[in-house]
Amino acid sequence: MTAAIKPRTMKMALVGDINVGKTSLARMFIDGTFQARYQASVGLHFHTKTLRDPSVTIQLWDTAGTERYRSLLPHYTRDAVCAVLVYDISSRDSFDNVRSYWLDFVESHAIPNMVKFLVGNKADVDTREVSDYEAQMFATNHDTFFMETSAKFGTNVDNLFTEAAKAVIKAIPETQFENGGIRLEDLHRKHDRRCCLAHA
Amino acid sequence: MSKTKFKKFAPPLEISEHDIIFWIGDLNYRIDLNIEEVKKCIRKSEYKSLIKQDQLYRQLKANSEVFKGFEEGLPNFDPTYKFDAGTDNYDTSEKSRVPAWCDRILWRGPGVKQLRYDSHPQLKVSDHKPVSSLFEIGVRVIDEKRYKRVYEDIMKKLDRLENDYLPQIKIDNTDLIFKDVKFIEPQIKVVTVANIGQIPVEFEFINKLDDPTYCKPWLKVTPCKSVILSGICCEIQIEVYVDKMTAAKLNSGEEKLEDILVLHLSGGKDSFITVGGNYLISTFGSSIEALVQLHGPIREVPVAELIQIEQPGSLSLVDITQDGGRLYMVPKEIWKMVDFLHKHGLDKEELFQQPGRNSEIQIIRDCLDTGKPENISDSLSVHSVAESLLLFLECLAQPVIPFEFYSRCLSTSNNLLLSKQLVSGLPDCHKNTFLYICAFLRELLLYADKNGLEIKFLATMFGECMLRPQKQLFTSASSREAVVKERRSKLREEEAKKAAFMYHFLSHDIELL
Repeated sequence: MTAAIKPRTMKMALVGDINVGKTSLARMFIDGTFQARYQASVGLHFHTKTLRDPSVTIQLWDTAGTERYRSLLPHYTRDAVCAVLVYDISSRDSFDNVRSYWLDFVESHAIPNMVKFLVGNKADVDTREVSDYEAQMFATNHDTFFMETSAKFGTNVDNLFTEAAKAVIKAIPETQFENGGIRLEDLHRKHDRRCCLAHA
Repeated sequence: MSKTKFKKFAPPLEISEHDIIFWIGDLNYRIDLNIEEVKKCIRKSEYKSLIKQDQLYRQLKANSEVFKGFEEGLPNFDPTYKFDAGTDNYDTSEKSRVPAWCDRILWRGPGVKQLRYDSHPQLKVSDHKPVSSLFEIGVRVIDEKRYKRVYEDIMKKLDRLENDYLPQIKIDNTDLIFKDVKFIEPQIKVVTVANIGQIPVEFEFINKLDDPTYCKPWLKVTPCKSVILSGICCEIQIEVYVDKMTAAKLNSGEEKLEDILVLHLSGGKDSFITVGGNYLISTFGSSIEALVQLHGPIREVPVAELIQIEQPGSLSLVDITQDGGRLYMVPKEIWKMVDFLHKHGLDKEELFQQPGRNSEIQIIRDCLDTGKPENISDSLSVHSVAESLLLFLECLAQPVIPFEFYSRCLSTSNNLLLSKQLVSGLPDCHKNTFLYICAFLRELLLYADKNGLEIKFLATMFGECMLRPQKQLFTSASSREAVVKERRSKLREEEAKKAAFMYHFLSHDIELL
């Protein structure tokens, strides 16, 4: 058996304005479904998905974008190894808010070396208000990865998280990560179960 | 041999657990013919007639328990035992053994094809002739493509399993609006949390970031933690109750009826329940400064204006008398309650001792806040009015003796002159209110033979209401016993000093300097 039985778990947080598609990205990534009807997230959800290459388990936290919950978010983002900053390419406001608010927000509540990933979602929409050039420039200037995605069609969604995982592996050695505040006690139990299942 | 294990496999495999087994060795089987017959057959290379008398061959054919499942090719060579070492001659010793196929190669397992089965008579070192065999065997290899697919399928299943076994709940209402919340009138809303997952859910309301508690002091959640079994619902009562501890801050606008409850599932997600609403500002919890500026009922005053006059120092900022307005000497609400007690309570026994009725206190609150009816209805019980008065004094945003004078009060409590000086230095509206209440209490004491009131009791009771330290005393409920004990004795000491301070003003009609 060549694959590691116990892949490293990494916590990633999706942040950004409301209705930019954070939950849709998570859905598409986790179980490959898309729901067109918008429903605001109330609270914090997480799901896990194991990648084969690189071999890691991603624990993906989907946050509520609603303004009144913002004061609660640091509680959930401060131990993430990767922040995915999502905006909607058809909403200039949502991009401006990444620049003026979200980037600062994640940086001020982050572990050292946290990987930042700027994501222009809804790439399938033709009423674009933010050019990929502009976003790419911004990302480059802020030491941030960049990609455009479509949660609706799944374009680049797996790619996004695969790249993010690779970047995390590069930026944050596992030893540091172990101390990175992830709730290991929760995860160990799950891994043990996983081992048993893998042999059964 | 049956105990041999190959450790490099996990778990270790025994010999019998392998897909293909080769059994090679001197198995010592003989041919059941006499030496002449055997040698005759050998000369003619009639191996077929020989093998039929071979013990192993027969055993394998008979499917006996020995070498079960093993196969062997037919030997197409001379028996390999026993030779005179160094020669091609069968045993010439005294024993003169019958030649036999002692050395054999067997196999067990699928996909094995024997290509050759030979002996090597040119090798003469031993009294055996070596045998060899060439096999073509099928070996299972991993189809990388299919392996990847299966691996990914399993991983997906595991992820799904992991996600399925996360606690899952559904909350029927995450946005609670409490309309027109009134002072000391609880409002309750029920939130139903359904466990829609496959495992029991353990939930708890948790503190937000660095907050010391999970909700605001005017909010109560029952139960605040519990376990819900799969498929079961749990009703959570969310109660808003504004009492004397919380009224003042809501009145002044410093605090709002807004909170977010974080419902945390052990090993799972967090949900937010938003609590909002509006508080109907009451004269209970207002400040004396604001109340003496208010002519009409408080409910008719726009909230913004109220918040403005609630700000500390609002009296000195604007001189409302300039525009023809006037200030009350004491808040009219206090006057109304005192007036009622004066009319109906002077000779009532157990005044300030018997509790009032909650429903009546709420009526009194509405009367004071809305001005309807203009005066407290005569039909209400004096005890309800008496309790309302005490409550009113306890609720004042600044006590009758303002916070900044508190510690000085305690230290001057044993000195009449200093106490007098202190009172004369109070802001006018506070001073007036203080003296007004003291005058009323002295009058009550004139009827002591009927109402049974004692000066010490009144001094203690009103000392508690009118002298309050800035810090609330109930804050840290988790203190250790020793701390609690120490605090209690300190409280008793302070209580005695407050009473002593009050005593001066209840025993004499004091002319201020």
